[in-house]
Formats: sequence, structure tokens, C-alpha cells
Amino acid sequence: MSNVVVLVDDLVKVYPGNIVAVNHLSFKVYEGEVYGLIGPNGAGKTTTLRIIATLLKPTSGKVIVAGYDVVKEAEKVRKLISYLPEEAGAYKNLTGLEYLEFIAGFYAENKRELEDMVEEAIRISGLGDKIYEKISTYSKGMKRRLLVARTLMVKPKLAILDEPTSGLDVVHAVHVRNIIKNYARSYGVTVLLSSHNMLEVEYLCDRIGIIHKGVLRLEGDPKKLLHEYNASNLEELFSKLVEEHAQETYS
Amino acid sequence: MLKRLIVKEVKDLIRDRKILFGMIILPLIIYGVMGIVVSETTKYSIQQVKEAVSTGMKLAVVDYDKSTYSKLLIEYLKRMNTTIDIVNRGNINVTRLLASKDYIGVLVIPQGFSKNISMGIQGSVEVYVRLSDISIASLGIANAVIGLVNGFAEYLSSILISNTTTLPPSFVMNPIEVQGNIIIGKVVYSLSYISAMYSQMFMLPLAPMIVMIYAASIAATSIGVEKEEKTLEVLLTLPISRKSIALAKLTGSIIIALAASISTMAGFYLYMKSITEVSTSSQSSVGTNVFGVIGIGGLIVYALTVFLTVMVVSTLGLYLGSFGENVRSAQSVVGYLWLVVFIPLYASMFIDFSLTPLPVVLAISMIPFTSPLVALKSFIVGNYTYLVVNIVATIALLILLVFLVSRRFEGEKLLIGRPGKRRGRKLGYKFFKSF
Repeated sequence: MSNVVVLVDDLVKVYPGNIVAVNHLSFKVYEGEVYGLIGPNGAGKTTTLRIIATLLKPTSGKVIVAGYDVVKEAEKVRKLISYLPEEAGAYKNLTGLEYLEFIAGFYAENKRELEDMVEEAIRISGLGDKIYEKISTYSKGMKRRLLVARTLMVKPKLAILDEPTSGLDVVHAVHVRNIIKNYARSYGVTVLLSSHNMLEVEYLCDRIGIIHKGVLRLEGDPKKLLHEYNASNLEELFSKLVEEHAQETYS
Repeated sequence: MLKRLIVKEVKDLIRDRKILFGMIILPLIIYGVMGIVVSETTKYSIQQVKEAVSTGMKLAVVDYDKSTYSKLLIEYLKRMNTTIDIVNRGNINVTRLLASKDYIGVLVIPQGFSKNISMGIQGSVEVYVRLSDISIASLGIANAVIGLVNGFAEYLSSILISNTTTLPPSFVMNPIEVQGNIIIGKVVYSLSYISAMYSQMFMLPLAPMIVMIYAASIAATSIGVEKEEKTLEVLLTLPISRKSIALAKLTGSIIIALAASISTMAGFYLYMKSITEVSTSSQSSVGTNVFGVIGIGGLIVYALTVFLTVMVVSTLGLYLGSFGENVRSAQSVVGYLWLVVFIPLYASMFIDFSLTPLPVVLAISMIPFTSPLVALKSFIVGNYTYLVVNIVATIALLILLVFLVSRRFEGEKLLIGRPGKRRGRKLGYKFFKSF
């Protein structure tokens, strides 16, 4: 078995107002795999990713990234991760190039490395000469491509992508998915992503965890899960799980 | 790493047209417009004074000389549509006399007035004017009283020229020296001194106050924008300490504030220049000798206090702005600052330190937002104790605020605020509840 990059153990997150977002969640992500957390809106996916990204503190439980505790060793974790929030933005008064240089500067150890990162980001974003223009002039799709490129260019130990194709049209969504898939394969970057787009998850992920109301309902290889539950696609599988859960709750 | 963040902050702020306009261009415009407004109001005040004079002024004349020329002066004043009471008692207390019968002014003709003029030496007249209202027009009335004596001097010149040719021409052209004095409370000031002080006291804090509010707004906006544009989450996951992020935001705002302070001083220079020009053309003493009163040292200290206050307000703006969920809410939280900054600043403008008990003065001095005004008062009065107290208090508040901002950036509340039942409530409520 490969090394564990992400260990989530009995994680609970309760927001003020006694809102339980994550309820005793446990899962592991292994080195080099693409792991997808799937579930409807409000399932607790984003909260889980934010805790792993050191943005939020768990109410209880433990989260370890590459051997470091996300609460006690947050600064060490931040050196290993690269996070793409669902509704991420970029500094609109900077050009695309300046933004990439700004981010790369935190990870690169020398100028050469910085230039390589930026060059790579320009290539994978496919923005061409638009990279020299202010981000305020970018379309939503272009901005998302820039942000995905920004996330991956630093070749993190763990890339955390929250709804990477959120709000994109088909053309841009396909482009972004290909970027993620190719990059993960080429550089062996471990990817933890969340999505409610089942097609996307089926296409990208080596393993998935289906999360609903803060609880992990099912986990495994998507193809094996489909076979096991006799479902034609993940949407069907997901619907079955939700119905099962509703019946359990009712009874 | 920090440098990188600061460069980004400054670049991002300076490229925002709103900031560029508000912080750099606006102070120049404010002072430019203020110069025009003040010069126009000065002209209008002069007109008002002329009208006031034409309806008659009530004056007391203390005639210690009781001579030909002192009587000539009194006769002249009576012809100038004034009500004159002649006081012949010895050792007159001018302050009491002014208050006793609502005189606008008191003229004191010292002994030897006529003798001096007869010998070709300037005769001296002391003029005391009581100010019950703080305005340019009231200063104009003071000038009008002095103008009466100057008018008499011209009248006397014509008499002297027609009577004799042996007196020196410079004396004949200017036979009387008018010593203008203003009485505020129990203190007598020279008119030129008070004119300079007034124009500073009223106009100087105005532009810094606007800059302060704008600086707070910029600092609040810088965090509000991060939230609204959804860049904060990424920023907080970068491999850099949260303290550095907070420090970079503060430094970025302070660099803009520094530019604003320099711009304010440049605007102030233009303002004073335009005031001096109109003063010279209208023979008014308003605005003259300003630099002479506070001096270059005073101007530098004033600029430093503006900068220090802007730093405090920026930090406070950043802290308050962090409670907002977007630009608009961040700015609305900062809106409370108007009260915090304006009330003590304006209150201290109307309080005469010389007549106020020491504990009260010290309490006022400890309000950080009054720094520029306290600096001015200190340099005008020549007492720097209050200024030192003020600067120490301001720096202490700055340190406290930096600590609070740093704490705020360390926690998760910066990101999530207070979700749940209270989420929809107003930010002001959220902010006050957080204490």
C-alpha cells in the first residue's frame, strides 16, 4: 500500500449555532491517487476540505497531511498543499502573469524555479497572450483555468480542489478536467477534490467517498461500486444511497 | 516573502482608481476648493463687515491723553457712525470694560499721544476687540475697528500735510501705529497671531479628517475585497505566516496613507498660498503669518501626527473591516469611525485649553484622533506636554490595534464570521457582540 498523504480520523465540525457540518468522518487518501469527495450541496465537502487546507479548525477528531497535524503544524502543512476553493477569485488589478508570479514566489526557492512554475502554468492554462492582461478582463472560464493552473503549477504534495469545474460551461469544464488528470498522472501529484458532478468524478477519480449530511456513506473505486450496487452511473448510485438513508431515518 | 506581499498589496491598491483618486488626488482638490471657498467667504465677510460698520458699532474709548489729537480721533469716530462712550477713569481693566456694556471694542489712547505726533513720532493706539463668535467674519469686525483708526490716520495725514512741510514724509504718511489685540477669555492676543491661529484651527484638521476616514475605508476595503473577490481563502493557505499577511495589509494601507499625508501637506501649502494671496489683496490679516506661528518644525510635527493618526485609523479600519463579509459591509462597519473621529476632534477644536481644568485637558489629549489638532495647539500655545501625552496614547492604541488585527488573522472567524442563526443580522451587532 502507498503512503497515506491525507488521514481524516473521526472528524467533527460544529459551527456556532450548533450546526453540525461534519459528523465523525474518517477516510484516507494515498500518495499519487485522485480522491473525490462527492455529495449534494451542504453535505460537508467544503468544510472537510477547508479543515484539511488549515483554514478551519476541527471541533474534534484528527487530520494529518503527510505526517503533519493540520492544527498543530499548520504552517508545515501549508508548504505541502495547494488549495483551490470553489468560488476562488484572483486579484483583478493584477495581470494573469503577475498573479502567477506572486503565487509562485511563495513556493519557488530561486528565480529559475519560479520561472519554470509560471511557464508551466501559462502552458496548462492555455491563456496565451491574455496572460499579460488584467484579470478583470478575463471571462469566468479563463479565470478558473488560471486558478487551476496556479494550484497545480507549484507541484504540491497534495492538491485540494473544491468543485474544480464549478460554474464552467462544457468546453471549459472539459479543458479543466483534462488539465487535472494529465497533471496528476505526469507529476504524481495527490489530488483530493470535491464535486457534485458525478460524470466529472467518474472521469477523474481513482477512488471516491460519498458524503451526505456530514457522514461518509460509501467509499471505494467508482467502477467497483457501480458494479456492486448494480448502478449504471454514479448519479444512480448516489440516488440509491440517499433513498436508503431516508428510509433508515424514517424507520 | 513579506516584501512580495507588500508589493502585491501596494500594486493592487494603487491600481484601484477609487483609491488613487480618494487618497492622492482628492486631498489636492479638497484644499484647492477650500482655498477658493475660504477666499470667497473672506471677501463676503469683508462685505458683511462693511455693512455692519455702516449700521454703527458700539465702542469705548479710554482717553489717558485728553489732548487735541485724542479728541480729534474721538470726533472722527463719532462721524464714522459709531456709538462712543468715553472713559476717563485711571487704570482701566480692558477685559472687564469690554464685558460691562457689550462693547465690540475698546480703544486705549495712551498718554503722550498728541505730544508724540506734534514731535513727528508715531502716536500709538491700542485696540481691543472682544470675539464672542469664532468665524472669519468676526475677525473681519476686528479688522473693521482697526480700520477706523487707520482711517483716522489717513485723515490725520491730510491735516498734517496741509499744516506743515517740516515733518518727515514717512511719518506724515503713517502718523499712528495701531496695535490690534484680541481678547479670548482672559487672554489678550495680537490680532495677526490670532488670525493665523484661527485659519489653522479651522482648516487644518478638516482635510486630515477626510484622509483619515478614507484611509480607514481603504484598509477595511482591502480585507473586504479579499472576501468579496474570494481571494482570502487562497491567501490564508499560502506558506506564509498569518502575522505576515496582516502586517503586509497594514503596511500597504500605511504606504497609501503616507502618500495621502504628503499629498495633504502639498494641498495645505497650496491652500495657504491662496489664502495669503487673497489676504494681501484685501488687506485682511486672515491667514497671514501662519508659518511664522507654527514654524517649519510645527509643520513637520503636524505632518507626523497626521501620519500617525492615519496609521491608527487604518489599523482600526482593517480590524473593523475584518468583521464585514464583503466590501460594502466592511465599509459600513467603518462608517462608525466618523463618530469616533469627528466628535472628539471637533469637540477639542472648541475647547480652550487655557480655561479648562488640567485633568480634562489631559483626557482630551489622550484621544488619539485629536493628534493633529493637539499638535497645532501645542505649537501655537508653546506648551508641548499635551502633545507628548497625545502621541504616547496614540502609539499605545496603535500597538493594541496591531495586536488585535494579528489575533483576528490567526483565527478562523476571519473566514467564517458567525454563521448560523446570527448570520443574517447586521454587522454592527456582530461587531459589538464579539467583545
